[in-house]
Amino acid sequence: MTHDAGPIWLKLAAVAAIAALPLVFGGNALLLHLAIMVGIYYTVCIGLSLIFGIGGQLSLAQAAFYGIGAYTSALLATKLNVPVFLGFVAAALVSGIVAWILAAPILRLRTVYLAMATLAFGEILVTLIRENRQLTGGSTGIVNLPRPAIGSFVFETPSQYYYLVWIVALAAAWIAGNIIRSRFGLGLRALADAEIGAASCGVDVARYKTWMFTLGAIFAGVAGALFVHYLSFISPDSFSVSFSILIVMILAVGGRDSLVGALFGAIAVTVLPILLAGYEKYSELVFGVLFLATVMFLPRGLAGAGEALLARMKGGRRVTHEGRDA
Amino acid sequence: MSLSAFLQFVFSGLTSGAVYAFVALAFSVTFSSSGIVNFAQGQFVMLGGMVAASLHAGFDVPVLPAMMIGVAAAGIAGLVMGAGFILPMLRLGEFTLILITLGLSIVFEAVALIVWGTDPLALSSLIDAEPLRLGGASLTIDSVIIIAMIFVTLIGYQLFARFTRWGRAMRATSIDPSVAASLGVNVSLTIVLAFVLSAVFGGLAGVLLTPLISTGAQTGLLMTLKGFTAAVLGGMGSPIGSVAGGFLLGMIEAMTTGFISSTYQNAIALTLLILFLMVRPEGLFTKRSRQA
Repeated sequence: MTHDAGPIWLKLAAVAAIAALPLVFGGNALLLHLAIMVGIYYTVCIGLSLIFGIGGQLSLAQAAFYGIGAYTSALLATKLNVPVFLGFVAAALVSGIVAWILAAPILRLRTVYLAMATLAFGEILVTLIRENRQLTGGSTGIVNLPRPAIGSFVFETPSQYYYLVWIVALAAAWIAGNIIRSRFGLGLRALADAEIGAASCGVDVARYKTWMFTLGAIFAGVAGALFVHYLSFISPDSFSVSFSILIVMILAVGGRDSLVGALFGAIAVTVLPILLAGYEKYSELVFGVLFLATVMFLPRGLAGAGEALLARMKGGRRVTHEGRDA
Repeated sequence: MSLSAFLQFVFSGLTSGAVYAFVALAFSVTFSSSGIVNFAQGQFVMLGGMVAASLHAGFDVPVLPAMMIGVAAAGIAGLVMGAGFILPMLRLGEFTLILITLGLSIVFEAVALIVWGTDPLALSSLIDAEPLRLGGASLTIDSVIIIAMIFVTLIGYQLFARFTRWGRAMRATSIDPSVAASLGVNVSLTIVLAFVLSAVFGGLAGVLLTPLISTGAQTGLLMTLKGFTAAVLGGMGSPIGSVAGGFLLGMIEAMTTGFISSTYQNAIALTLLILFLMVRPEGLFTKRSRQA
């Protein structure tokens, strides 16, 4: 079981680098902003990596849960003056509950049918948000969302918010990593490969799928809440189905069966428009082509390609697990 | 509601139903030849419509040739997709193929956004004539054309599938690709042909729709979802079922608009999709059971 069980020093180094980033580059507002967005994308991607990467279920509903979490927290904060942190907890709860209810009927569907049904769910949700103007502010949304605070300490500056986002992201990664290595994760991988086979080995397929979907939705919901309180603005545009597709693309580019892959993908999508400075118009096309190319030629994404390269450099040691599609 | 108002909603249901029928038929063609549900299906509608509209508006190409070029452009996109992306990747399994069609859908839209921007384009009518008046309601010539064309296309496709060599090859492939191959059918070519045909059907819908509702670069994905809904309603893989599903969806949407409100038109159509996938994935008009 080599899944993300990299050497401990590598993980500590990564955490140290993440912790040190604002100390070193704190003056660079753009870099800090990008790092915050990477953290948010990463959290949503970790959720999808459980559902799709490990469990093999192609869900295009991550944007919907991201939106459910975001609106839960935004509405609680603006309509009922609920402290933002409580709103975050509510965001996790509400997106989790909706996912749990939806999971039982929808996860019986497979492959493209599941993809279309989850896509339809996302589209329906956006319509509901857009049309309930009284509650959600319709297409214009809600402005002046408060920043989260503990007592009198407010997460006001970008550096402070950066730490908040990354504590959540790393916690999500830690939880997901433990799940992947647990019996539950093993069951998920088994049902991804062969549902009937997994069931015959004692995996409760329906229950496993429900919990995987719910957990993934909770990660997305919390990330959505973090996102809107960072922008201090919410509108339905951020939660359209294209965001769900973007998350699938990020995960596929990075490598859908590893948490490192999700991070690589999140960095790639955030940095790309900067690399294309002056040609931002083409960033969607470039990322689309990058996605197509990875799907066609690097089925395990950038992370998988990097791993294979490392293994070759170490002297021909074979990579122990193969691409899922092979 | 007065009879004339009701008739008006029926006409609008038939018109949008014809569009969905084209896309659903296109879905069925690729699905039955290769088992692939093509996420980029709606992009061919967008592509055909946008190419025709921009040729007419920007280069003064008359409407009919502009439409023909629009359909041809969609067909070429289908050829590139089938021969360049689907065929070489066919052995890579279902998930990879789904992701490839999703990626191509994104790429088509991104290219359209670069070329045409976000503003929708309009196209003049094919025939300049007064709308038909029936029972106090009116039906534009463009609507008549698109409704007539879906039936022409369906009959043409059925004749092709039954009586021509290539059509029979496609049907044989849909039943069992390896048996078809052992009987001398060129399965690869058949799959490419199916993608070209499905793209042409999508393009036809696009060029015929654009005089009625202007088409924008970002309309493709919703068209994919609607066409897929129609195909699921009618029965994926069955040409007649898909067309019936298209009209059914158009009617449901029109009646929702007429009796409830237009705001939830999409939401109701898509709720129907989710319900159908769960309860009756084989569709209303087919008997075959299919695992969904």
